[in-house]
Amino acid sequence: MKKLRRALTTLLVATLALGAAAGQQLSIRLVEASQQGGSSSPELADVTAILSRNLPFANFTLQGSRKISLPAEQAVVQIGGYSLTCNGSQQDLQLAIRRGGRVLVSTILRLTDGTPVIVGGFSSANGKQIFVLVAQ
Amino acid sequence: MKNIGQLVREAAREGGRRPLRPADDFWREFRRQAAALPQTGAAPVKTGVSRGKLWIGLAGPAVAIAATLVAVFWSGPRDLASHDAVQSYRIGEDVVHGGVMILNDEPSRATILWIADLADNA
Repeated sequence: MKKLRRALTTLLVATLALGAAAGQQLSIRLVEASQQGGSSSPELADVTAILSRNLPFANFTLQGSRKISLPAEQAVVQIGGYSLTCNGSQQDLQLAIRRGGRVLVSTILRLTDGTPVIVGGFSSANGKQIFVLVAQ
Repeated sequence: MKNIGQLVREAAREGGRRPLRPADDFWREFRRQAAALPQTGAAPVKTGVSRGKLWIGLAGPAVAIAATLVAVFWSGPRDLASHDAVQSYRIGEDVVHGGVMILNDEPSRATILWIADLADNA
């Protein structure tokens, strides 16, 4: 009985530790939204519905993706001509998006595991560009 | 000091000297005297709890229980995740834009920070 109790306690602690470790990665995807017809990128299957519901675009194309570890310490990500600087944990992530050497937007985000935060409105050849951020 | 036995015997002797009245005469006299005196209604009997206080006493706990159940089980607008996702933002100093919108997608709780009419010279 004592052994069983000890085993269950160990299992519980391990489960909690795994849970705490979740959300230690940040996925960053650069997406081009356009009015042109065609199907959206399959890599965006988890967010296509969200984008379609809220933005006036018909098509979403993945243009690049990166992953960084969290918490980040001034991590710089180059993607599609943009430079993203990430600093902090998923509960307090400072993000600065630059292009051509100037800051377009800086924000402080609180990310929830698996819940996308989308920052967009940047001009592109065919429409607008969007960053999809998901903590995993 | 007289004991109880002596008192009882004295009372019996007293009662013997005064003739007893017939019951009808006694009650007729009683009612006559009662009618002569101003009568007021019986004093209200207080049970210790007024109706108003009784209602409050019963309703109070019921309301408290109902409020607790609502607070526990109501899954109303608890989209804290989406509302709190964007803690702050700042558009670049020389960036011309038409405004900023923060959209919350209810089904997924996703948050969209959208910069409208951004003139970023792409």
